[in-house]
Amino acid sequence: MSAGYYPEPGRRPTGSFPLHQRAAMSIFRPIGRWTAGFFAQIGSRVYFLVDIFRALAEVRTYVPLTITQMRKIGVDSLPLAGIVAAFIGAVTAFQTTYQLFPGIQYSIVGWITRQSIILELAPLLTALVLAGRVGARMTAEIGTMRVTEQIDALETLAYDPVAYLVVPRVIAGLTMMPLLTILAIAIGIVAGGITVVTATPVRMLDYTTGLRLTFIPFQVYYALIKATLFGLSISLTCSYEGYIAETGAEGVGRSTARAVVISSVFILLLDALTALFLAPKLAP
Amino acid sequence: MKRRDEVIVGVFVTITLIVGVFGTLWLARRGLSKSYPMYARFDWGNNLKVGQQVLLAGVQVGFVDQVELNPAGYLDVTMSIDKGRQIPANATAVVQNEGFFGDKSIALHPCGDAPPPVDRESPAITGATPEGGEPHCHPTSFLPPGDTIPTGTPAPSIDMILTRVDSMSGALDDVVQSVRISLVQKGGIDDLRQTIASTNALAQELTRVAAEQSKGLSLTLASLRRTADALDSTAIDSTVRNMQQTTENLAALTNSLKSTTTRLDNVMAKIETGDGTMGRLINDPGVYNELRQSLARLDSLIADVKANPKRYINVKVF
Repeated sequence: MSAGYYPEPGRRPTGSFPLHQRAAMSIFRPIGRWTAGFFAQIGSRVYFLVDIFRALAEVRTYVPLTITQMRKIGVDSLPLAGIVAAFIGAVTAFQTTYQLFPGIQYSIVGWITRQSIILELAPLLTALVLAGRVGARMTAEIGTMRVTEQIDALETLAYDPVAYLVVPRVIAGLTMMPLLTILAIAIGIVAGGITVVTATPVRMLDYTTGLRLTFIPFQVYYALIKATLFGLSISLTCSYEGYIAETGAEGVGRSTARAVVISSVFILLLDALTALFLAPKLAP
Repeated sequence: MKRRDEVIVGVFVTITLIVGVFGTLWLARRGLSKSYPMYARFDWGNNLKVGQQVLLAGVQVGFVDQVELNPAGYLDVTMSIDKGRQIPANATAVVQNEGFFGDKSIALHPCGDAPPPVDRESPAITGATPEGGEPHCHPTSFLPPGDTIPTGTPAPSIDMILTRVDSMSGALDDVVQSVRISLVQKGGIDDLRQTIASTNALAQELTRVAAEQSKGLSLTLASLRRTADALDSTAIDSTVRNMQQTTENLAALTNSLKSTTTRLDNVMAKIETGDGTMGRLINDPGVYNELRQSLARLDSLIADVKANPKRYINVKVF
């Protein structure tokens, strides 16, 4: 059954060791296994990345598919991203208005709304929502193909499955996330403006003055950098998890869940890292 | 299907890029409107930021484009002024507060710091009258683009106001302290309390007296009201009318008396001047003498008649 009873040739069975050595083994062996597994995960992902880079040479395979993926990932996600952005913008602006104490100028509403939406909310929430909508779908698609051995069939047909399945999704995620973020920023700011002008004493001029206050274009670039990283993280993580999905419907489900969790955590991690490295450059 | 995807993705990318580029431009430089730079130099620590408004006489004409820290102790501020707006030649730039919590804007005063003159003699210069006079400031020359606007004297900042408030609160502290000493430590508050107590007693006494007085007063008023009710209003009316009539008659009488007096006056004057019979009679002593002589002669005649009636009276019966 286990390695203890049928040791590999040249290996000494664990049971033949003295007791104190066996105790030490029972402590260190799991640690060693976990560490090796951790590095194996990283290594496996690096191999996957190398496969992707190699597959980038096969332009004729992935370019036609990339357009379709762009539509599926980018255009089809616009309603969801737009709704999220509109509500975030409206709620941010509305709540900010009621946080103000008397005497403060109303233009601060526009300023706070712009800062939160451009710098944080639009990229982050769009990415998190897309991790659910696009990432889960990506993992499920590729995972099912893996489980039903369609990927093996592609290999048999001398197609590079990475170029055929993964590269279009990665390119689409990489390019569509920033575009969706731009639209999310625009929708959020407009929705916030409409909300405060119609529902609070803030006037349009206050809001637009606040929008322009201390604005530098780097803020938009910052959002786009974040969005690109998020898009990359979603598409890479999710296609990888699908690509290595284990057998059966349960394997696909587990892969999908893990893909969403890992990409969400990655997104938050990347968010913190970009803030750490790039936020000092935001000072006007 | 594939062709359709391409079209959809193309439209999406194009629209998004347009939104991104124009949105950034709109936020960063208020759209595609053309502008030209102007410069100003302020002291350090004015809390100026990119994007703050530049107001000419209260109207936004541009925004702060760049704030450079000049090591010589200045902030070199680049302002972006909308094309079509001109800055008067003698304008001054001042950093002013926007709201109460430290937001700033640059205010350009078109006529410098000079307050509007109040000389009413020369309306060409003053005339800041709302009813159609000329404005007190009408610039004729303008600064060229890229010029530096001189800095004016700033309005009092929050810090200065706070310093003033601080000194005021110090003075207030002193006042409170001295009040405390005189009231609490020197027993003034006890005096005050006694005064208040005696005033209270006095007020109660006064209230009692006033209550009695008011009782008497209300009785008096009631009886007065009764008397007034008893008076017949029609009788009063007729009485008043009669009194009016009498007054009118009196007035007429006075008038006729006046005219009589006047005439009498005339007569008396005539008499005094010696005009007329009466005057002569009164004023001429000759008349009197003649009258006396006549009377004396009449007297002697009468005596003669008495003595010798026959000389004068001849009674012949047949």
